[in-house]
Amino acid sequence: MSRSRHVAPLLAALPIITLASLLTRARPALADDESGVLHARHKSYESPQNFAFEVRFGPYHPRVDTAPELGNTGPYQAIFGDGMRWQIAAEFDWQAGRIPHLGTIGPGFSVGYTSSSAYAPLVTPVNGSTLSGETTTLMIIPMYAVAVIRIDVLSRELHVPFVPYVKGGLGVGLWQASNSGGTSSYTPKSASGAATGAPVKGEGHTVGTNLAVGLALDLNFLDRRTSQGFDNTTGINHTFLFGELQDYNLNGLFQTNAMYIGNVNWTVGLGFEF
Amino acid sequence: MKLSRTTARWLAPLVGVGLGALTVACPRPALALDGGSSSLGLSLSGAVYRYYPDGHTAYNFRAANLNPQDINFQDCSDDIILQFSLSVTGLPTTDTLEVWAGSTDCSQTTARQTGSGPYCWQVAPRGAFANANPTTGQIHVRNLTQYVDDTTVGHFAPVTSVPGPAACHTQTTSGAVALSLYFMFIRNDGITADAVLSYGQNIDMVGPLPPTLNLPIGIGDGLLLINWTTQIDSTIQGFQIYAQDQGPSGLGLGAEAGAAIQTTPIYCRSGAGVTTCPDAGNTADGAVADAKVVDAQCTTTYPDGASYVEMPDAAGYASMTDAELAASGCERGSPVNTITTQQLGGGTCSSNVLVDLFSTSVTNTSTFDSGVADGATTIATATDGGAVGGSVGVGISEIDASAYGVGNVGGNTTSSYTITSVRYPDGGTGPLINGHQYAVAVAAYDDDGNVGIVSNLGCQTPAPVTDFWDKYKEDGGLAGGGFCALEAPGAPVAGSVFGIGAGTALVAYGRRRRRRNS
Repeated sequence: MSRSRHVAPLLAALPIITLASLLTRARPALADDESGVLHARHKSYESPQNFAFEVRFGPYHPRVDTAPELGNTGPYQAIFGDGMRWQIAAEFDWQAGRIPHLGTIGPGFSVGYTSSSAYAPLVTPVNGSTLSGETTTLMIIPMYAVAVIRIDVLSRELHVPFVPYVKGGLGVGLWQASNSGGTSSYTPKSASGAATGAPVKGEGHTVGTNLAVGLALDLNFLDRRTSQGFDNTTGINHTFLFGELQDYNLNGLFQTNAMYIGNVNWTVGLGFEF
Repeated sequence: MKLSRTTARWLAPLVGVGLGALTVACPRPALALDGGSSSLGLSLSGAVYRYYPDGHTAYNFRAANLNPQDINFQDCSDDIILQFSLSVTGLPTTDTLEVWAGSTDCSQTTARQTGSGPYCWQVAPRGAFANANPTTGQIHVRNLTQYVDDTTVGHFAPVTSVPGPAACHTQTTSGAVALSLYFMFIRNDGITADAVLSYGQNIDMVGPLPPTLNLPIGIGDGLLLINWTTQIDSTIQGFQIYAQDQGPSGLGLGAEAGAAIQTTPIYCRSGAGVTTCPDAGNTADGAVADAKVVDAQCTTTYPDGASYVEMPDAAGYASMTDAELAASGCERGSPVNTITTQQLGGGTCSSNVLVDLFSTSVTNTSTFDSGVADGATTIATATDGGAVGGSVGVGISEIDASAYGVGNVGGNTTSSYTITSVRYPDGGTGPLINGHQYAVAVAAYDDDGNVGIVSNLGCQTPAPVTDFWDKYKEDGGLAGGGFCALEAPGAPVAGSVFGIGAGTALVAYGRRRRRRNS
C-alpha cells in the first residue's frame, strides 16, 4: 500500500476533528444572535439560521481506469467512451456553530447519483455491426460526510454577496454494473470456456475522501426587501448559487479490492440557508 | 364529514368504477307496459352466474381490472352460459317468457318485427324460462353475440340452436358494444309485451389495433430487446409478447417486415387401403398423384384413423378441384397464414404460428386440423376486410399464448420488452439460446382481456456480448461481489466514516443543549 493511502485518511479526518474542536468553542449560528458593530442595522429581522440545503449537478467521469491492476486496458473508456456523464446530488448541512466574524461551521451529508450507459459490444460482429442492442450501465451513488465551513463574514458584515466555503471529510460510493438482464455477473473461464471460479456480482462500494472548495453568490443582494419577506414567510434566510471544485477521491481507502469510482469535477447548484 | 381534495381525488375513481359496475351488472327497473296485465312484474333475483357449456361447471370471472362482467372473446369462444334467476309477480297463465337482445328498446314491437329498422333478436329458446316464480334459465352467450354488429334485418326467428364459433367474430368496431337483454312476458299474439325486465350487458370481442414492431430487434446475450410503436387506443391495458424458437441460425441482423400470405395445404391419405393413387411413386408422368411418393413419411393419424401427409406445393394439388382431390384420396386443408420477413443481412425468416390474418374469417373444412371441428371458424376477422397482408384492422389474435407467449407487460403506452425465455411446443420453457433464431411478435390487449391482431413479424438471433463488467473483470479488475463483499477489510472504515460524523453531530448537539440550558 502506498504512503499516500496511509496519509489520506488522516487528511480526510482532519476536517472532522477540527470541526469537533471548533464546535466546542463556537457559538450557535443564530443570525439574530451575532454581536458586532455592523450587524444590528440589518440582521434583526432574520429568522434563526441552522441549516443549509444544496442541490447540485455537474460532470462526473469516474476514474475507473486509473486502478493499478487494470494497467492501460481502460475498460471504462473502451465501453463508455469519452462522452460527458453527469451527476446530480443533494447536500444537507447542519450549521451547528458560528465562529464570530468568520462564518458557520458544521457537519454535512450528501448523496448523489450518476450513471454511464452504452450499448454493449458484440463478442463477434454480426454483419459488420459491432454493437448489440443490449445496454450496459455503471451506476454510482456517491455519498459523503464532511465538515463545512462557510465564511459569510463578507456577506453579513461588508455587504459583499460572496460566501467562500470549504468542505472536507470521508465518502463512500455504492456502485452497480448492470446490463439488460439485470445486475451483471462475471464468471471466470478458461480458454476452453469452462468456468474456473464462482460468479462475481457486479456491485460493491468504495470508500475514499472528499475535499471541496467553492464560492457561493448570496442572491439576497438582488432585492433585500423581497428576501426579507421570503425569510419571514418561509424561514429561508439566504438563497445562493454556487460553484464548487470537488476532489472526490473514492479509491478504496483501507480497501484491498475496490473499483476506483472517484472524480475531480466542478459542480454548480442552488442552495438555501434556513 | 368534509373530504379533503386529496381524499376526494382518491375516492373519485373508486366511485366511478362502482357506478360503472352497477351500470353494467345491475338490471334496469322492471316495466309494466300499457295495455298489458298491470299485475305482471319481473325482477332479477340474485346474481347472474356463468357456467361452461355443460351448464353446471362454474366459469371463473376475469380479474377485476379486466371488466369481469363484460363478455369478451374468450367467453364467447368458450361458449359460456349466463344463468339468470327472475322473480315473477302476477304469474300469467297464457303469456310466454321470451328473452331478446339488442342495442335498441326490444320492448317495442317494431324492434322485433321484420323490416322495421333497429331490431332485436331472440337469445333463448321458448321455454328456457318456465312460467313459475321464481324462474331460472340459461342463455348461451353465442346466442347473444351472433348479431352484435350485423346490420341486416330479420333475425327474429325463435332460437333453436347454439351458433358455432363464427358467432364470436361478429363485432366490427373497436371497444365494447352495449347491449340489453329484455326478459318479456309476451302474449299469445306473439308480439305484445306484458312485463319487461332489461339487463345491460357489454360485449367486447375484438382486441386493440396491432402495434408495429420496430426492426431490427436488438441483440442481447441470451436475450432479445424489442420495442414497438403502439396505436393510440385508450382501451389498451398491456401487451402480449410472442416468440418462436426457429433453431440454429446463421442469418443476419434484424429483419424487414413482410406481408402475410395465406396458403392452403393439401393432405393425402397414406397407408393401407389407398387405391386412388395407382401411380404413386411414378414421378415421371407428372401426375398429381405422384405426390403419394411421400407416403413413407406419414406419421400422423387423423380422426378417421388413416394417416395423412401434407403435399408439397410443387406437386400441383392446389389447382385441383375438391372432387379431383377426393378421387386421389386427398383433401384440402384449412388455410394457413404465413408471414415472411426479409433479413437485413440476407435470407428470410418466416412463421406460420405468429401471424394473424387480416381478412375475412375462414371456415375450417378439413378434418386435418386437430382440435378444431369442421365448420369452425379458425381465423380472426378484421373489420377492414382488407386483403391478406393488407391494411390492418381490429380483430382477435388466435395465436396460442400458452405455446408461444413469452411474457406480457402492462400499460397503455409501454413500448419495450426484454425477451429472456421462450416456450416450446411440449409446454416447457427455457432461456433464449445464443445462435438460435427467434421469430417475435407483439399484440395489445384491452380492458376486457381481448388480445388484438398481432404485429408484424421480426426475427433475430441472440449473441454473446461484452458488457462493462465483463470487460472490467477480463482486464484484471478486482472489485465486485456485492455491496457487502468488502466488509472484511472495508467495513470498519466505512463504519467509522459515519461513526465520526455521528459523533461529531452528537458533540455539537450536546454543546448546543448545554448552552441553551445555561
